[in-house]
Amino acid sequence: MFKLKIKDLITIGIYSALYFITTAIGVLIGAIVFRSINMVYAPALSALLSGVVYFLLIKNTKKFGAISIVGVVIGTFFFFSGHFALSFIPSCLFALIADLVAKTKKYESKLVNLISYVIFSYGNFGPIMLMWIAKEAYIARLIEKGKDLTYINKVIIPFEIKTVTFLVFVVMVCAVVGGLFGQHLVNKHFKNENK
Amino acid sequence: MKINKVSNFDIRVKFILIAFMNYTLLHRVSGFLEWHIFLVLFLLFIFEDKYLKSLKFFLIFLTLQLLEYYVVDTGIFSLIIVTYRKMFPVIISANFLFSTSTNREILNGLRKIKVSDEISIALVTMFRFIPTIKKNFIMINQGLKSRGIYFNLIDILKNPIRYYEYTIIPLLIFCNNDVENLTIASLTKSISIDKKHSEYNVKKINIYDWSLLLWMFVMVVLMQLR
Repeated sequence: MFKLKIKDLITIGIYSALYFITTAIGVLIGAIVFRSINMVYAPALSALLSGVVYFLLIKNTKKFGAISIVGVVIGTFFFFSGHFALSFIPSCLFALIADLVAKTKKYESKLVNLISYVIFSYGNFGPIMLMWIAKEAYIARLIEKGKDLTYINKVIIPFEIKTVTFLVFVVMVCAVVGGLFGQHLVNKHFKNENK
Repeated sequence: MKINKVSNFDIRVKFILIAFMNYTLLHRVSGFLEWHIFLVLFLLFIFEDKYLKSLKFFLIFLTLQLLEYYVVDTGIFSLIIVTYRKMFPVIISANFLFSTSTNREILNGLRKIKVSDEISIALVTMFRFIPTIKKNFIMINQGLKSRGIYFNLIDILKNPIRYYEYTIIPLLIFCNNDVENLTIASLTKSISIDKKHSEYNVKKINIYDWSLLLWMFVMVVLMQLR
């Protein structure tokens, strides 16, 4: 399918594990700082932390398929950890688009790689879908318990176009900041490292 | 020498079990069906002689139930419990897969269901490496402490960006070294060869697998009829 060697595949696997860890830390920070379980800020915080992993992966592989496979692997992890099967789709789709974008400049252009990272960061929106599913279950339970709709609306933040646009913007800003910081760290520590 | 017990269930059936649990998540199973699903999951661990794990999951499930119905009524904490309880069957089934199969078996299983080698090798490497990263992270923190920096949470909060740099960069260096070592190991094990791999133990679908598959089929029918 892809022209990747065994070393590239192992690199992808290990960096996926690291990417998963940075994402999990982002989720944790989001839960502590924003005291919110709906995890809406998790993709933004993950994007802020994962830049260095992403750019070092690109630097070490520079082949089409690496980013896509990370997306598939992370998506599969969402699938295994109860994040609902549909989480898989955005993760793979955005990773593939990010891979195609980075490929246009043969993974060498800093700006294009940064754009690719911003696109890739949107893949983490998948697990948030679960919240809407669980929310429905939660609302159903509140109704069962005799709570009125005014109370429910206070607890549950409704899913609206305005909210989604805001989230998309926040993720973009965080991905740019995280990406630039990631590129800075890669340049600082791994500039002279041969592949 | 410790010899791993061969699992009673075929790896492909374990994959189907995870997919089935995702399906139950989508259908928001509750009441009798939910209890029934959990009971079967606990039994699966007993079949594999994992009594403690079965008990641990049972206690977590019971705690979640009790918290939901008697202690916490509303608010964010309640939402956490409802969400976690919905995800719990998938988490248990994934744990069942990883605690009763070796990485080699998972890789072989993924090959059997025709997942491309690129994805299956990356996936298995990822699962193999999460515990290693944890170990490396602890080691890096000990290293920082031995140099007299970042002793506690307050130190980290005072300068989080520097702490991030001081931990992520050594982690990446560790990862790069692990890539080299693992590549050499994988070459000696001929993981990347294109030809069909020979199997020492050929696992066939047995009565346990058929029973589990039949149970899942019946549950799907029941969920549809509900």
